[in-house]
Amino acid sequence: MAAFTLIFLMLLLYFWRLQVLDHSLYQRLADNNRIRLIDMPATRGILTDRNGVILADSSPDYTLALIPEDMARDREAVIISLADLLGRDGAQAVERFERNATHTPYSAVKVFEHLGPEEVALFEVNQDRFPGSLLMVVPRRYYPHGKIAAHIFGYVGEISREQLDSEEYPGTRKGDVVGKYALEKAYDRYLRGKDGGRQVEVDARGRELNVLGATEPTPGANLRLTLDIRLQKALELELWDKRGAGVLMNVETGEILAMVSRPAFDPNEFSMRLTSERWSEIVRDPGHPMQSRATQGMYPPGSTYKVVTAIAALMEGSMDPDEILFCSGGYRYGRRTYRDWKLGGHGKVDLYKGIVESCDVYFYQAGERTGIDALARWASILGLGRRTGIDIPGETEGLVPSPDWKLKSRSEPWFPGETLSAAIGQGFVLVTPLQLTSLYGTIARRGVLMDPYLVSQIEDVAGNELYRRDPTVKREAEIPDEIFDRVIGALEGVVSDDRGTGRVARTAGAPVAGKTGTAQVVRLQEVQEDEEEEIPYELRDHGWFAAFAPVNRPKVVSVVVVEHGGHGSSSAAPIVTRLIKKYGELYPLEEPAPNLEEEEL
Amino acid sequence: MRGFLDLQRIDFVLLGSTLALTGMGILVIRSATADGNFAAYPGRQAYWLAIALAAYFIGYFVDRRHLQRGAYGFYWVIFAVLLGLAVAGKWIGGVQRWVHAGGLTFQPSELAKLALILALARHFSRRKSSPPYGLEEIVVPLLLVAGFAIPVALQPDLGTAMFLVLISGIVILFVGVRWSTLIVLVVGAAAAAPSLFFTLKDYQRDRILSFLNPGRDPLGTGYHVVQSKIAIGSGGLFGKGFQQGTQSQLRFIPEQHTDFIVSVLAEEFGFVGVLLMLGLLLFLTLYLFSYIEFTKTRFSMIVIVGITSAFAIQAAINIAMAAGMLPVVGLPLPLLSYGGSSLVSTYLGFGIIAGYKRRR
Repeated sequence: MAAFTLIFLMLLLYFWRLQVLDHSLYQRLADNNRIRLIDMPATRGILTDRNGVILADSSPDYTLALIPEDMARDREAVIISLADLLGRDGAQAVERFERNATHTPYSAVKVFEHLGPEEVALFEVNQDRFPGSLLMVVPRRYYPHGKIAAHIFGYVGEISREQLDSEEYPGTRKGDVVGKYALEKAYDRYLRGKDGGRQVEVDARGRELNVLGATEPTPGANLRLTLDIRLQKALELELWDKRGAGVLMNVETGEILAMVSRPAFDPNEFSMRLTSERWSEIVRDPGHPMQSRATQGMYPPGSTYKVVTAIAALMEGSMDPDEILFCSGGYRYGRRTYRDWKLGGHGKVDLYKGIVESCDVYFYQAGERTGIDALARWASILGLGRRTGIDIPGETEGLVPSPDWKLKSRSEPWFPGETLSAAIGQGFVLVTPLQLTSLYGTIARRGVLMDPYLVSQIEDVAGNELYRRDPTVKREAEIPDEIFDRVIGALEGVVSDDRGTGRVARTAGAPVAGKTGTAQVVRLQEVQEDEEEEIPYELRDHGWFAAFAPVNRPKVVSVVVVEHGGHGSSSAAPIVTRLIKKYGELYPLEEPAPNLEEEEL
Repeated sequence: MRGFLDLQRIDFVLLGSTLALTGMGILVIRSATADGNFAAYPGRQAYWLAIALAAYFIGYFVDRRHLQRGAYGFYWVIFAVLLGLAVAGKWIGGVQRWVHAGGLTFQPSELAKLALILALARHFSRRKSSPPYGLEEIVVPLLLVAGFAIPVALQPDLGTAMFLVLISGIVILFVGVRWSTLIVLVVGAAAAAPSLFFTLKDYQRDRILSFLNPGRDPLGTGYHVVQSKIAIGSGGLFGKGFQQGTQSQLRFIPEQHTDFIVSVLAEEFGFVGVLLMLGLLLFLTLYLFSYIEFTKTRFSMIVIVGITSAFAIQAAINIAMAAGMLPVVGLPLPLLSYGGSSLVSTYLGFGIIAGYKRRR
């Protein structure tokens, strides 16, 4: 006990020495008037595509910061005259200063960002007039490809009060730049890195005398994406002046090779200063450039959905694929006639012809016989009506309608006619382009549902691997091969058959299997059978094409939707065709033929 | 009725000074985590305090015979968890000190201190042998220590591992060993030290070297100690005031809500604050030791001495470390540092000691 008393007395004596005898020494070192903490923000991790091409980087950026305690008494006046000097908005700067001021004494508050060379020069000449101001070099996020893949990368911005209060961004402080959307947000904790700081001794006028200590910032980790920027660009350019979305996915792995939503925003605008006028302009844009159509846009799938009806009907045994039905251009059901898209009808139709020519009447009957519950169940087994689980936030679920769903969400009973609409992908059915990609990938893989993903690897700056994503199978649907033989055979016919709706895809450079779709925005009855061009843009149909190639050993699956593009065969199918062709130029689509001569040797 | 009488006999001096130190801790945690995203910490510590109080009463009411009989069982449970973590840590690669259960995270190495003391007390309270002990009679205690210290060191948490060894040393000294045995142990430890030094991780070796020579790496490991000393020294006699510490608010002090909480206290509340804290810590230590008078069994005496010494020594090491008198070893300050595991284990131990007065 005496020993413990002695130990505690020794500690007390030591603290006496530090705090009382040597106080003036340490006081000087910690002196409020002489030591400043200057943040050294970490550089955000780099995004690269699958081949190492840089997609998002950082560039140095001049930021003007103010240390409140060193400023003249009327801080507002100082900020406003600084704003006047630089030609910036004074009121906004004051508001920003107040928002970012911490109760941490003697720390720099960032007020003006992204100073141009003239502004830097102007400031440096006049710096003596503004005690407490200092120029910092801060890394700024830079996206060299502009609007390309904007919805995948997302953007960064200063952390908001709400985000600071939430637990979404651990370890952040006011004024920090964080990822706010898509990958930048989802992988923020990897990308952000760790800020450092310099403790500098300054003179009475706030000029740096010497550096007392520095903690170097640790740059964020780098993300390698599954994208191929060449394919991404090709798809972006195809859709550039359109509204719509497209996806190209590796069938075997679920890697997303390209994923486009148009119109897009420029993420560089967000890492620069974005005025509130510009922001509201973006938000009010009727094209909704901020929406990631590929993962969030919900569209009626139209005829591309017929494969689901076909699989459901065959699995339930409600249709024999060789049974021949007659299509006269319409199907009488109850008191209504459900029309086929082809005025005169398709005549005698079996499953093959039903898919190849996209006969609606055939699938009305398939749907009627199979029933809505079975249709909904098989759609769900094939992955529709739920998120694909891709690694960017905000994905929507789409909608697989069923009587239960309708009763719950609309308190209305299911009308039998609605089953017919659902069977051809109209009515309540909604899918995202990514879901449809996943569906066609699952068909190409004969029932194997892969998890789609965008980030394959994360490495810190020292080259240590922090994360690796390997292809994972989400689910395997128990569907016999004979059924896939029928469905895939018909999808192949869509392209190869002379009456197929996807004939354009013959030029893809490899055998393609696919399905066109034309999703009605309004009911057929409301629009007369006019020439496409005469229908007002907003009422025109959405055009779909979903395809995979090569048929025998599928490598890639691609889906494109062109909003109000009219028929899928003319709007979306050519785009998918050229995309697959482009893929074939970059990566071998067919297995190289075995070299017999070499084997003999 | 019995339970009610027991409650009436609660030692409010013990519980009061314990709560006073915990309260000081929460106040300083509040200041140390004022900025940024740590605002929830003081609240979380208060939440842990509720659990810790429950642990105190579990320790208080637990039957002494069960305590003695269950000592080995407790040891093996903790041993299994530590071993599991060490193995899992090897697989996952990285620091593996935490058990996650139902949204709470717990650091089992904190409970290991208590479990080891109880197991050693159980061993030395056997009737078969009597002190002073020879070498062959402390083989089992040494195995008990190694069983905890090795998995903890592999986590890697070298500070706690060495602390476990230290606590056992004190218990062994308390029960008494022959001089010859003591000499063998000391010589053996001295011979093992250099080889141990080279099995350390780089950062651990850096800490020891930079303690021996703070100028070696002023921006790295030594830098934190220098900053901590500046914080303490600049606090002066009366401190800079609550949340006014420039060193702590500027976050120049590493781990300021856990390992370096003393630096924040010293900066903001000055020597007066340190005096109050050290006074309370010493008072509590001596007061806990005084419980020996209420017991007669060997087991209970070892438990009281073990728990109290562990508390006092850990506090002293932590404070000395923050003041730059010892290398940075990553031991929290009992009762004051942020961290639920340490708080709960400390309260549990105090409850066990308090329970000895209840018996009378």
